Amino acid sequence: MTYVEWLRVGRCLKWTAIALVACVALVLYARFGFANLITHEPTYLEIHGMSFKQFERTAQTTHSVLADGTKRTVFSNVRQGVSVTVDDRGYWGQRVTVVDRDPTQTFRARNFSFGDLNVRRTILPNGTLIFSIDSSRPEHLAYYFAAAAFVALIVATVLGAPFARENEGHLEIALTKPVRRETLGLATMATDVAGMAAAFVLTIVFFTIGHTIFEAPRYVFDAGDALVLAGGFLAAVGWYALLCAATASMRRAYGVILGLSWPVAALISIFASSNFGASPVARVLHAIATPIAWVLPFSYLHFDAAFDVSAETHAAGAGLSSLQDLPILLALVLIYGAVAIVTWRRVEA
Amino acid sequence: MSTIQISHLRKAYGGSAAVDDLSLEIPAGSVFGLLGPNGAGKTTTFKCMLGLARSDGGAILYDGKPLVPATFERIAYVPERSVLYDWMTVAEHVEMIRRAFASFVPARALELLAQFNVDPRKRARALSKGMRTAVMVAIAFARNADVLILDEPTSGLDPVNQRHVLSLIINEAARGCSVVFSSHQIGQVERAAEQIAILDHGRCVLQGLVDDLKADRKIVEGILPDSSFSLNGIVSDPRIARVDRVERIVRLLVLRDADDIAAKLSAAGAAGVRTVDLNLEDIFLYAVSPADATADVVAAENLP
Repeated sequence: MTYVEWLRVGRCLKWTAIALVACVALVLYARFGFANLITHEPTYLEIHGMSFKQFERTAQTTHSVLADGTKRTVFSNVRQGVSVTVDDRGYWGQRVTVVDRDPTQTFRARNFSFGDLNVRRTILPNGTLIFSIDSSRPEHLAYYFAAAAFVALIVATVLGAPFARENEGHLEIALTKPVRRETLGLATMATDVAGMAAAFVLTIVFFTIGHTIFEAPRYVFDAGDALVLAGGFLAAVGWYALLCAATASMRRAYGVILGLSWPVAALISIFASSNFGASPVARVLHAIATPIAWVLPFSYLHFDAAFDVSAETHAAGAGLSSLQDLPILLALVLIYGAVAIVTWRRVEA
Repeated sequence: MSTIQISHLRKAYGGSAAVDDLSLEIPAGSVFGLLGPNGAGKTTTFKCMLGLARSDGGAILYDGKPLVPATFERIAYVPERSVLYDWMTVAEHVEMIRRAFASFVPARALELLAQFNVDPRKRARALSKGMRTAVMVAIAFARNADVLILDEPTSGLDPVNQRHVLSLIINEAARGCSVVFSSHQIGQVERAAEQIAILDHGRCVLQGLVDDLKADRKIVEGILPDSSFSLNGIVSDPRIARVDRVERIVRLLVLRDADDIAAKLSAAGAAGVRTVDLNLEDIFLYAVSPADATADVVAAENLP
């Protein structure tokens, strides 16, 4: 019944896979092409106005191997009251801990978390600073889900005009099959959604491969991750349903709709979420864009929360703003899907 | 075996009627030719028959029942233009139809494609117009359908393959399939169809068995003594469907009893009176052309 759509989905997934393989190839090149640049010493640190190399020359260095095989290197400068401990677990990550008894001159960096990288700055009651850079912590899957949602959004845009493609000279085939139009329309959309799900999974697989090239991946999955998973995928499906509804009666030029959809949606999302000042034009734009953004699945995706600088929260917010967006997105999926089917049902060959 | 009844079908686009009060009955196991000039409403009729266009009135019944999705299992359709997916191979089209229709016989489709010299591995975009038609025809004829609706099924085909399609049509009818087809090649329709309907401006202007139409309709023509010679008393005869006069030559389209009309014309003073048989093309042109437009249709070849 939906053989043609499966073929379309297959072609789309083939190109998605090719693009992801190309990304992995770039990661491989980066990993092994620049292998000599990767150092086990924290050369990026600056301590009391000195580069790490300069600090290293003034410090006493000791090497040891811990019971779990971790290679520990301690750089200690008693006169400055600074010690740097590097616990190198090789493929399993690295943890750098700096203890500074006079932290007035260094480490102004804020707490930061991205993926498995965790930067923490702690001041003890006696004024001692403990600064740690840990790249061996388990990573929230929300990062992967957010990236997968982004790819699914692209696939949704590519597949987003299934009915217009049939209207463009193929209705005599599509509509003379022994099946109701509504059933055919639903099956067609279900096929595309399955394709988006496949692209979602494919992205996670390739991201895992890319990650594994650099270090051993370790993951955590909690309610926040589940929210990103559900919200990210629903937003992509809602976006697809919106494009289906917008193009269901078109016979040509639907490519213009698909092509312009991203910049238009991005502008609406930006105007709706940002305040560009008190000028009348900015306020009018904001007032117009805000209600449109409510019904625009695209605008429910947020990637900014992935870069967590707030110290305590983690990346689970990446991809979705809040739990109450889920039913809204689900409603948008159903409404746009129904509009698409009803519109296509009325199309004549 | 399936009988198709079309009654009082109406379909308008904007304010203009594409099909106007069309009623046809296509018996099971027959070949029915639908003729008409461009824009007469043939394709629209087919689309209404298949539910591809919503009719504004009237009814279309297959074996007394309206069209429902399940009916498509028994109907095969060849549209007038290519509806193939350019990016798909011919074999993928065959597979698409196999998955959609239980009665489809892929081996038969591949056999027909081979007869039309179409390589199933080719993508549709690489096929010529005639080859695309051949693909659609091959797929339709491998459907084992009860009803074949063919909108110009020989369009773009070479004469050999046109003849092959006609043979296939006749074979399908012999199997019990009802075939409705349109063509601008009236000779083909004459060869294959048992019944025809001629549409003009959305209305059916003539229909019947081809043999009956040809047997009944004759041209009686003669040369009048002068160009002002009056034909009163003859042209009012209800058996005369049409009178064409060019100078002294008069041509009467007679629906029956042509010999009797010829005798009357002769008795009225016309010279060289003769009765001429019509072929389907003549019948078609008389049906759809205004008076005088056909003046030389018969005369060019048949007048002394």
